Amino acid sequence: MVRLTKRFDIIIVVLFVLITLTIWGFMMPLTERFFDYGTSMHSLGQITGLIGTVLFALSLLLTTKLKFVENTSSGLDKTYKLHHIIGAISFMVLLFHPILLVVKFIPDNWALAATYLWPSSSWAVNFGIISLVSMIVLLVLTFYVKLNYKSWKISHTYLGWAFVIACLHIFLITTDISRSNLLKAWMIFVCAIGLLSFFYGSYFKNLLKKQFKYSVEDVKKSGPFTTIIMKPKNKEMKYKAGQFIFVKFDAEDFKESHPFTIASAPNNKKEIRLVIKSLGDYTSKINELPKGATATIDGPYGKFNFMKENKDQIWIAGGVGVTPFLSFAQSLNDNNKFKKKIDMYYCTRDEKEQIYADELKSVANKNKNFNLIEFCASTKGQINAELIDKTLKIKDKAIFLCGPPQMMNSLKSQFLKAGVKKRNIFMEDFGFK
Amino acid sequence: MKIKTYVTIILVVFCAALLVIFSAGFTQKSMLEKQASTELQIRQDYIVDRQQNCTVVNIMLDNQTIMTVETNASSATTSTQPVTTVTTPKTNTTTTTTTPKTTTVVKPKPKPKPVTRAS
Repeated sequence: MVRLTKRFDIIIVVLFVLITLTIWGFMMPLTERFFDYGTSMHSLGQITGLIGTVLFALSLLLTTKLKFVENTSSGLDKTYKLHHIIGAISFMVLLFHPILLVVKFIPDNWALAATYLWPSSSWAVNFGIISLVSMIVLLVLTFYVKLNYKSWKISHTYLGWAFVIACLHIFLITTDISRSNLLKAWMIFVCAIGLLSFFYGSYFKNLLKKQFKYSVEDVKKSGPFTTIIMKPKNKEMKYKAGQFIFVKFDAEDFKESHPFTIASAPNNKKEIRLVIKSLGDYTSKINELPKGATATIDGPYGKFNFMKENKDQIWIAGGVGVTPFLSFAQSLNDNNKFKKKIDMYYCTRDEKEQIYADELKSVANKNKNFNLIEFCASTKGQINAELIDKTLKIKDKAIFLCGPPQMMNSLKSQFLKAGVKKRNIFMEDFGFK
Repeated sequence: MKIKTYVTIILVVFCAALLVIFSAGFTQKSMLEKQASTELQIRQDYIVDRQQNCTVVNIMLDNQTIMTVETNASSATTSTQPVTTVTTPKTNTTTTTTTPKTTTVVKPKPKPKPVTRAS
């Protein structure tokens, strides 16, 4: 769940950067560091190398799905988003590192500048070049090539190896790290975080982390949606309404782990329901999943939880973004303690896509505090804050959003303009790639 | 702007900078190497002349004689002549000749110090 003002993960990232800069800054007077053009460029080159490494290490930590990492943010979906952002910043900063180091030779000695960046007999330097080139190739694949989920995941895993090679560069080359014991100790700590995160996340997580075994009981396709019902093989997983899981199946073509939101209520311990929309190569054939297949579940994750907000609420679901709200609504049936008024907008392009409207209506019939508003863009146009405000009083209400990123971002900015406080807006991002 | 836009801008700047550094750097490097090979040619010409017991030293640049230094062979056996120094401005090469033993010394340019790297 997103408390837009509560982001300890960002504070931690900033703190790591500041500690690194402070240690580096106290190694020698800054007047010496920035004495002239040459020393200034060299110093900036060093700073970019250090900051880039710190951000790279932390971006690897954010992919581990460890509970304490998720607890520093407002949910794993936000952790992944931060990973995406600081990974990109790390990449951009590291691109400046070699350029700034050679700029001091220009314009007097272009030959020396070019030789400096070219592979040589010095492996300490070569490791840096190999790491940077690998990063460039892998991130170009990530940002510009539309890979399928499996290829994307593999290419992303190799980024961890680029970090391993970068560590060799950092500790073998003669630099401030080799000259200051304090900076060396700090960078060993930072690199250890990155390395442990990478090896744990990529190779040991499945061995070390508790996972749940379920069996696939039913697979139903209705329109673009596939509903999967799973039952526990041994111990059932405890979860809260609105949380999501990573699932892989022991069936051909479905062995890759994918994130899906749970669409069933937590009190229903007998089964877990997933509602999956056909969006990519994997989800388009999920309806072919054989019954009886074993599902391995990693989770639950996420903090998109309406129960924490003790005030009237507006839920806005866009398309397949209805899944956490199905879980919310079902839990209203089970939990009559929640007495606040809830108005839910179920937004789709047309009526055909309102597949779960009947289920939500039945909840509304049983619970007088829950009101369903079916909203089709084909007849009413795009949903917007002004329209919602005319029908309901949006100020001082908690607003929960889940749907396509463009829709959520647009609505969020509209609500903020309309005077809704940031702390009252909660969004669930389900785009992990 | 999206983070992807920033990444694209920085990546383009990086590639452009790298292109400029490598093209200018390796052009300058090949020029320096050519200059070094010219100096080597001067030394080789001298050695050939000396083997033939000749007192003429041809200084060449790009296979063209740009200067000829001639010493007095007869005086070479009778008296010690002061050192004669000829400087070729184009190549910055200094040729020193002494007459008694018709010794000509071509001072090679000092080798550049190896580049030390640090980041």
